[in-house]
Amino acid sequence: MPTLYLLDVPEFRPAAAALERAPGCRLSRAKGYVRVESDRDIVVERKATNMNEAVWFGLTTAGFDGEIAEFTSDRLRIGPSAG
Amino acid sequence: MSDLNSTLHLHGVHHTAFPTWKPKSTVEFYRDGLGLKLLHAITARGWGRKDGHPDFLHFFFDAGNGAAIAFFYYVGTEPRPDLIKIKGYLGVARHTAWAAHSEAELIAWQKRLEATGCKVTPVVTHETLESIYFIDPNGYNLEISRSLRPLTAQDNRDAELTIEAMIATFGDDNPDKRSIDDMWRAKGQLVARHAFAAAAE
Repeated sequence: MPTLYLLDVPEFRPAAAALERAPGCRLSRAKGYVRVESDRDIVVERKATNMNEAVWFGLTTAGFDGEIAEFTSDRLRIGPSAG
Repeated sequence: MSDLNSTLHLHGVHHTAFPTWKPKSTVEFYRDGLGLKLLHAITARGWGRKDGHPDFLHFFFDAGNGAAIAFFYYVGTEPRPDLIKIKGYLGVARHTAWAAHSEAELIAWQKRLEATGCKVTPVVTHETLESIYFIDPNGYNLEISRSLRPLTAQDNRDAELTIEAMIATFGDDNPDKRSIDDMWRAKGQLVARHAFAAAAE
């Protein structure tokens, strides 16, 4: 099950808001972090977040569990662990 | 003495120093362009040593908040562009950044530098700051930044977890050729333990 952690700060909140609306994503918050869990791939579209690239490419800074299948200026996709 | 040792801490940056082979342009840029007051200049016959140390000038500009930026000019030595004009991201990595207090100040600096013929980037917004970038006459990368929000204990704690993951993943020299994805997975485990441990148990 892929899991993405987001730092719960103003810069990354647009991504958390977009994932809040994403089907299948379950968000929980604790101690300044947002944990995003999903039974399918976790996908964030940059367009939906309005984040500029300098911030966007730091989106995974709080870590994840799984494999980054795609991380372009358009989209972040995290799938399940390969192993 | 032991009391001093237990409370000992550093009081900000006193100065940083860089070699220059363009002393005239350096003074014009830092003193006249950036408006940094000239504080002090040392001139010396080598270090008084007999091992061929060149004669030099060492001059200091007030960089603000008690800090200085200083240059060495080694008389009669050949320029070493390999030490200064490093191409690509490694050249960008080593830089000096000054603080501005507002967006208006940042824009004003951009205009002022451009008026002196200096090429300046558009304002770049990062996570917690925005910056303009430019290059001094030597080729050193410079930046003026303003903070978009104060850094909090939450940012500090996250930095500690990141650095813990970084050291665990890469150590020194990254002997196992690990990727940043490996580090992010390690960070995820630390965040899970730090923030979500109760839920996981």
